[in-house]
Amino acid sequence: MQGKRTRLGHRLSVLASVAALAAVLILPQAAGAQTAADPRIEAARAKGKVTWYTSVSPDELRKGLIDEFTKRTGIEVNSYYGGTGQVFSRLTTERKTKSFAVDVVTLGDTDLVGDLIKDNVLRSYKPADLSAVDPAYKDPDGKWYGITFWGLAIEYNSRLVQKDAAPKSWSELADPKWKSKVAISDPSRSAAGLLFLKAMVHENGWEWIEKLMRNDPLVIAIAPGIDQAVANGERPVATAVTSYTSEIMQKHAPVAIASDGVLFVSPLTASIITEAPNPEGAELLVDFLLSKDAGELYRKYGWFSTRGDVAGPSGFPPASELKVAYKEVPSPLPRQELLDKFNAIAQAARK
Amino acid sequence: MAVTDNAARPPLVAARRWRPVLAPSNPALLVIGALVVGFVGYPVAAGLGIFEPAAFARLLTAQNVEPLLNSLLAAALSIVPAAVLGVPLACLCARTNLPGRNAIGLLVSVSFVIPNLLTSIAYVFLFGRNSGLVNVLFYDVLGAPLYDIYSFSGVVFIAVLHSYPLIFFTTLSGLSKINPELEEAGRICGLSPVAVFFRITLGAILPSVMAGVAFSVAESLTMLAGPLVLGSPVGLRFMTTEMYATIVMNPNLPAAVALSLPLVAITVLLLWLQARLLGGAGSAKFAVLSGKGARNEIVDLGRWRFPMMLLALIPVMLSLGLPVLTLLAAALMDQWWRGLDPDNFTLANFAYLFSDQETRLAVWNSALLSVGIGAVMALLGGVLAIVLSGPQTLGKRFLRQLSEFPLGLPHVVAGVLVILAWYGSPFHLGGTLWILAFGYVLVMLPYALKTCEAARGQIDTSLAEAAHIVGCSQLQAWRYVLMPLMKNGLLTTFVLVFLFVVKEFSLTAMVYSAETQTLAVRVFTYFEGGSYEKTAAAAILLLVLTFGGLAVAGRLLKVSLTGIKV
Repeated sequence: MQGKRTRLGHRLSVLASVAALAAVLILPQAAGAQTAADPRIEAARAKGKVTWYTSVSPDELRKGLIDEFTKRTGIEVNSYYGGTGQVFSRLTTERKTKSFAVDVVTLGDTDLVGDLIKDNVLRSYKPADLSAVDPAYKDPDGKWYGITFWGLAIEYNSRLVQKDAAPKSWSELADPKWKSKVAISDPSRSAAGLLFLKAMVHENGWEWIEKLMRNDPLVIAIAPGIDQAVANGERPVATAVTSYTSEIMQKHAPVAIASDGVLFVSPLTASIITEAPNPEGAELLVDFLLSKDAGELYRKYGWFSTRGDVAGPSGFPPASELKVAYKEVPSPLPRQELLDKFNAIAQAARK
Repeated sequence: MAVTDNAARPPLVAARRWRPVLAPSNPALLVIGALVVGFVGYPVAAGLGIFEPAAFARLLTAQNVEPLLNSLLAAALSIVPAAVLGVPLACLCARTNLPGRNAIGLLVSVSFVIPNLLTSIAYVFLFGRNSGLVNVLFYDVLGAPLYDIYSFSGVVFIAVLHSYPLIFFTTLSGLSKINPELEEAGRICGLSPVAVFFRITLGAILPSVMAGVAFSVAESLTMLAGPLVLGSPVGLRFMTTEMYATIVMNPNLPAAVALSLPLVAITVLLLWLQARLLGGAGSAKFAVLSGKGARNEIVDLGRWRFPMMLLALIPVMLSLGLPVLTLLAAALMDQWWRGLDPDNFTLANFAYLFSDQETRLAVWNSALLSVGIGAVMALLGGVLAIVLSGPQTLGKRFLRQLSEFPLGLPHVVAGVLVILAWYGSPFHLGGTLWILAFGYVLVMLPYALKTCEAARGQIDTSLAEAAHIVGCSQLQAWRYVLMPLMKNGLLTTFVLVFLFVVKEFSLTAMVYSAETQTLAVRVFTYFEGGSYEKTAAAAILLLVLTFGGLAVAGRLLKVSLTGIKV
């Protein structure tokens, strides 16, 4: 397992370094990709607004992206925001009514993107210049691109826990010395929790999950709740979604990262809908979401850019130097069975 | 199919039973029937289109037994304290000279609007096991936390805080319509004021109280935020948190529809039981308004006035005071986790909110929808209650049950049904305020009907008959006799629906578009973005809007807020 982690991490860093180098060489052209000279702009403007269903948060980041896109192209964006499942549910439900108003969709779950591809909801698009984007975030068929990503780290309250005492490895979270001191994301209700469960079952087996649950962790369903719980000392140690943790660290919360790298990473994607009423506008928006300027905005709000030429968010190294244990998290069981088994273990442990 | 065969004449009862369901002689029933079928039946039928038997089979597995039992138990445990708070509080406000009773009534109404999610978070701030402000204070004395809000009792506590205002509203509405002659008769017979209250007043307002109880049970059963914030973290699973997972994390719409079935079935069963207990729907047993009214007697509390006021303020403090103070503190904080540090206070969150164009649009949409739907539902509920009263035909029973059906329907599932029904072809209402409005009509109809029925039930049928005898048409009888007598019930409906719509989130979040955001959706958008501080500021704005809305409504309707008798 250790070997696999190192190999994967190494592969990622090599890929990212190559991407970074390529980006530096190609940057001048990339920056000019969306100039007024682009003939798609006129066509897109003639069709009106671009509709974007998106899970990008916080509010300021989403607005920053939309404002910047509109400033550059003169095209307004009609956005619908919700959590990944909510966006997916809304999109698939309205398609059942034969209503096709969406141009671009952004989701935080590549399994769900896979479902959309299977149902022929997404169309291929290959932006002219993607050399700076990590190949891991480019679908070979052009049905989706990772625009930004987060990872799962271990965070601790630096006022309550000494740096040396903080858990360095993921396995330590089930150590009885952390009993009633750990918060984790809820696997049934958050991508962070689900991927954590998959990775840890793969790493240590279900026995470890049983041990963890007997350790009385606080299982938090809503992501910002975790960082608040660590910062105010409700639980001094937690599994941390880097985007939220980076933001709270920027505001000088007594929160620090204990783990060396992250357990896994998970992207937010951008895809164009097959029936997009404004296909040119959709392409321009995807181009922009993958641009360096958008990358800088993600970084400002705590997210990693998938581009090699953008530094890491506050408190984290650049993506190219980030150690990632699992580039792809293997799933030991189908999703529902996995959750059923976890719930049964959690219930038994509480009794 | 009228039975005319004299030779084998069946009993009259049977003839009545087989009368045509929607007789053309009753156009009002036809029109109102069409509306109910359109607004409720059609979306429900559209939802059946995505129902899969396999999803239903999963419902019966062991995985779902515990969540169902937890949901039922929490609702059952919350109802008694909610009634114990709501009924006496309403009686104190309506029938005694309690100081500040009108203000207390208004505060209870406003407290209903605080989103559950924020009440739950506020109580985590106060009673989180390790970091709660109160627990930290007591830690040195007790060596342990005073109370851990992350618990089953924590979920029940939030359910009580959220549901007692519903019982308060409906009880107040019932009290305002009671015929004082009944109580007078009791007193003449030598009953003490306490005996009059328990043996006469409480009996007479039972339908109103029971309507509130039904709403409260439905609210507790379908509550998501309390279980999500206080139960899930310590492994307590509820039906709503399970369903939330099937929409927001593991999108499976057939499973969401299947999981909502037990909640709908339980509330339908409860409503049926309630109707049986009250002597059947349309019963005239509670007709207490039969002629000219007299002024209700106000009980003088004497030297108990101020102690009683302090007692009455306890639930208001718990449901409004503490959460609002916490929210206000958070809204004025730079960083929530830093707590009450003097350097931590700022107006930046409000400045951001007021500069945000989306929020301004959301305020307008929320105001328009809550006032508009409140008015429409008061009218629709009133007419429905009148049309469905009197002898019960199969058609009336069907319409009543169809109208009551959405009571137990979780709003997030209602959102899915509304999209399936109205979003695309042939109506194409997606992206307009109409689709939200139709969604609110769907989920609010049971509340409007039950509140108006409680009001209609207190009016003796002889009054409408008298109007007919003096030559009034049916519409004139409604306009000049029944509706004015039901005025308090209609106003209660308006206020109740206004409050529900202004804070509605689950359905709205599924259905809204860029131009049709509401303030409640903005609150949750800030929350999901991770900013507790902006969330709190937006929630304070929501409370101000509610307070302002109630005040403006009071002025427009030419009744003081106290006169509304919420």
